[in-house]
Amino acid sequence: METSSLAAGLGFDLDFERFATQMVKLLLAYAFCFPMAWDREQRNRSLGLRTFPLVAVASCAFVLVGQSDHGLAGEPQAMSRVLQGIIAGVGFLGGGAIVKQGMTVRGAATAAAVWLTAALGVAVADGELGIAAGLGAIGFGTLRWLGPLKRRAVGGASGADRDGPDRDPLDPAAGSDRGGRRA
Amino acid sequence: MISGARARARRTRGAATAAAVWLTAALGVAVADGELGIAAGLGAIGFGTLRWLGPLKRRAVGGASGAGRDGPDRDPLDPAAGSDRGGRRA
Repeated sequence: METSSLAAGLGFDLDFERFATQMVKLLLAYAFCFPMAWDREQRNRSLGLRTFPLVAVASCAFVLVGQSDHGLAGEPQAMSRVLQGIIAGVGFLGGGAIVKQGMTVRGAATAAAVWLTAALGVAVADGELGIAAGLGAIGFGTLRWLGPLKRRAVGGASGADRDGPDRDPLDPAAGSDRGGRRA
Repeated sequence: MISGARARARRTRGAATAAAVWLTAALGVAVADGELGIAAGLGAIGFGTLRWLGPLKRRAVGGASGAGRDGPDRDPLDPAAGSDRGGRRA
């Protein structure tokens, strides 16, 4: 039996142009979320350089499979159920980043960033590069530069005592604006 | 030093593994649907991320302190976790 007929019998699609397109989409999902992952890692967050890309790529793959010829193409309701599954599943992953300590909840921004990363992966899979790039840029900017504004919002003098729910007071690297970045 | 250890102890561990399990589910669905390209890409990207982003991860949090801060995904109780090779055992 020829390889192509065997592959056809197993239901495998050996279209290399399609393969290349899918690989590019997976890599784009990886690349767009990388700045956020880098920022979270630098700030010593629970989820970082490995978790974010894996979430983005997996989300992208779920939608790509749903869009395949044997998948749910042309069935928007079925695709919406795939999206619901992704959103709920990522919620559990993000929940692992949230730590309650007394009356304070920490890691909420990281959890939200994981959720945003899943949306980014879905956008790339759907060919919406504008949405994906926007999500990546807005997510990175929010995580990176809203920390100082956040501390200003709660009062400059007390900023050292109340670093916000996403900052770890026990972490020696968390005292500066740059969070986990060390010398 | 002690406060750093406390901070590490309170940090979530296993997030990358959880995400990898999720990615593996996507890989299985891709194979079942005949999308070998997606499956191969997921396998390669997942393996590369877990395998080679460890050193980059430690660089992100600072080279000098890397020995003390193994990252949230590393198990301090695992005797094989002291080296860069993580869970690989002799």
